[in-house]
Amino acid sequence: MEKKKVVINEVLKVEDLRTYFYSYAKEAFIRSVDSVSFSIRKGEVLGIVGESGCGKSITAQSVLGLITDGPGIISGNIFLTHNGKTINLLEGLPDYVSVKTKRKAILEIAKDVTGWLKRSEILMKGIRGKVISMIFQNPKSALNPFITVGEQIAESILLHSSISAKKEAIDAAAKWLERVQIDSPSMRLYDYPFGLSGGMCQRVMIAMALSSEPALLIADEPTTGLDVTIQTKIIELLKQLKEELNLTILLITHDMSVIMQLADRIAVMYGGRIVEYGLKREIMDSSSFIRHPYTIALLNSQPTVEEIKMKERLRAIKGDVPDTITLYRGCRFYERCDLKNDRVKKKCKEAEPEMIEIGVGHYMRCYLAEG
Amino acid sequence: MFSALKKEKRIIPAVDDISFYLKEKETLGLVGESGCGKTTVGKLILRLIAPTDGKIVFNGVDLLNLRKSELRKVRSQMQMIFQDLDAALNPRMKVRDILKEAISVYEELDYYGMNKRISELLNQVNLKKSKLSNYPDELSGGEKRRVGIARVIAVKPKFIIADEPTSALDVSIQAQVINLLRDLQEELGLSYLFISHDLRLVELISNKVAVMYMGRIVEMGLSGRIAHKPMHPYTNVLWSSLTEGGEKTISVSRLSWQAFDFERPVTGCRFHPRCEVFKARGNPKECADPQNEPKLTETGTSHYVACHFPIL
Repeated sequence: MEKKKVVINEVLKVEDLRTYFYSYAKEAFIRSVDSVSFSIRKGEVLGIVGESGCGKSITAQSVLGLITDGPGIISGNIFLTHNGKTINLLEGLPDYVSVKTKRKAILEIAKDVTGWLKRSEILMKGIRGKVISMIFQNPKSALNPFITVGEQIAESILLHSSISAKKEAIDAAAKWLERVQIDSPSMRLYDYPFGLSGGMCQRVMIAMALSSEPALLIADEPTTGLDVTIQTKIIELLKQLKEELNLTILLITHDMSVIMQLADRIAVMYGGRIVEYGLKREIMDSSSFIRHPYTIALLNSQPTVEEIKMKERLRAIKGDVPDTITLYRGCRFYERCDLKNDRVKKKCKEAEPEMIEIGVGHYMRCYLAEG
Repeated sequence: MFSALKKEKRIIPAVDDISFYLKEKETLGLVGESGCGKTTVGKLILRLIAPTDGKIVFNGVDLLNLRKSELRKVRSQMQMIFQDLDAALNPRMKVRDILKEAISVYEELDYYGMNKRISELLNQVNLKKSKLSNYPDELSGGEKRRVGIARVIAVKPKFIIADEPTSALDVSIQAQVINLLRDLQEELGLSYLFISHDLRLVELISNKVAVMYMGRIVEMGLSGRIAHKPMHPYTNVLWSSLTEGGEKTISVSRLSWQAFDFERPVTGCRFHPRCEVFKARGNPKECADPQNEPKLTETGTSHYVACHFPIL
C-alpha cells in the first residue's frame, strides 16, 4: 500500500473508511460506514452527529480497532500522527479478507479471522487506551463494579505511563479525580462505582481516559442518559479540560445542542455516509443559506424557546433511519427530505449526489447546493 | 436466605407527603433530578408499590381501599408507559402477539375483530403493518416506543402515566413521540402524568408542572409560570441549567450541584445545603430548623411553593 503524506498538525486522518458486515440471513452487506473521510487537527473537536443507526459509533470503533465481529470488513486508511510519526491503523488488514463476486452477487466471503485479529492487535498495541482513549456511552456499565474507582484509574496509569509504583499511581489517580472536579478526591478513590451517581461515574471515566494523556480522545455520547442538569456540567467540564490540556476530541452524539457547545468542526452522518462536513461557524452561521436538508431537520427537531412558549407542534423528522442493507440508487435522505423541489426531484431519486465544496472547507452532498 | 442482608433496617422516605390533583384531559409534568422519587410516585398511583400511608382517589374511588379484583377493573382506566424500552417488551413475542395480549386482557374478540382492533391501534400510533411480524429487537427505538404506546392504549385507558417516554430516544424521534402523545390526548381525551427530567419537553406538553426534590414537591403551578417565573430557588437552578444555543454561561456555583443523599437526612428545608438564597441571606435559622420544614403553600392563583424565602 502506498503511503501518503499527511499534514503534520492533523492528528487523525480518515480516508474512504468502509466498515461492512455481512448478514447471512439477508445475504447482503450491511454498509454501516460507507466511504467516510474526515480529519481532526490538534486541539480541535470534531463532532459527528446523526440519528442512531447512521454509523457514528461504528466509525469510532473502527478507528480504535474494536470491530472484531465475524464478517466485519474494514477498508480504507486511518492515519494517526503521534510524536511526529504517522502510521496507518488499517495497514495490511484488507489482505486477510477476500470477497468473490459474480454479477454483483456475493458468492463467498473468506476472512482469515485469526490472522486479521493478530494483525489488528499488532497495529493497536500501545495505541488503544494510550494514544487514543475512549469515553463510552454508559459510564456505569463501563466501570468494573468490583473494583474501586481509584484502583481502576491507577490500573490505566500503570499500564500507559512511566509510573510503575502502585502508590504513586494511586496518588496520580487522586490528582486526576481532582482535575475532573470530583469533591474530596482522596476519599472518592476508595468508592465503588455503584456508590457514585451517573454524572460522577462519567467524570471517573473521563479521568481514566485522560490519565494516559492521549493524543486523541473519542467521546461516544458522553452526556446521553444523564440528567439535563448533569449534562450541562459534563459539557462544561469537557470544554474546560479541552482548554487546559489542549485536547483533541472526536465527539459522537445525536444531540445538536451538545455539538453546538463543544465542536469546532462538524460532520453530519446519515445512512453510513457523511452528508455535510465543515467548520461549525461555517455551517451554523446564520447568514449562510445553504445547509443540508438533514442538518436543518436535525436542528429543527430541537424545540426553540418560542415554540415551547406557544406550545407548538414539534417539527419531527418523519419516518425512520433507513437500513444500510438496501442499495439506494438515489439520495439516501430522499424519502424523509422536506426540501426536495421539482427542479432536483428527479435527480435526487436517480443518482446519489457527490460531495461538493460549497464554501471554504465546507462540503455537502446535495443537489440543492449546486447552482 | 436474605436475612443476612437485612442487618440494618432503615426507612428511606422516597416519597414524602405529596399531594396533587389532575383533571380530565389535563397533563401534569413531574420534574426533578434522578433519584428524587418521580418514578416512585407513578408506581404508587398504579399501586405497583404499596404506599405506607395516604390516599389515591381516582374518579372518586380511593384505590387503597380496593380489593384485588376491583383494582384490576380500575387499572384498565390507568396505564403506565415505562422508561426502559427493551425491558418493557417481551423479546420472545412478536409485535402482533404483544398487542393481542394487551387487547385480550379486557376484551374478548374473535379473529376478525382482533385484526381490526390491531390495525386500528397501528393507525393510531403511525406504525407500519409490516412490523407486526417483527420481534422487538428488530425494531428501532422509536418503533419500540410506539409499540409500547399502542399496547397501553389498547385497553382504552383514561389516564396514562408516562415515565420518561423519550429519555432513551434520539432528539428527532423524541419529537415524533411527543407529537404522537399530544395527538392521542386530543383524539382519546387522555390525561397524562408526564414524568421527565427534560425540562423543555415538560414545559411543552404540560398544563401544570410539579417540581420534586428529595421526595417532596417544592413548587407546583402552571407550566409557563414555573418555567419563566419560578419562585423556589431549586426550580430556578433547574431551569437555569438549560442553555440557549450553547452560548449562555451558567452562573450557578458548583456547590449547587452536589448530589443529594436520602440516607443522610437534612434538617429543616431539604434544599438548604445547596440553596443560593440561603447563602445570600447569610444562612438564616429558619431554613435549617428541624421543626420548621417549609410547607407547600399557595402564593398566587393555583401556584404553590414550599420555601421560607421564595423568589418574587
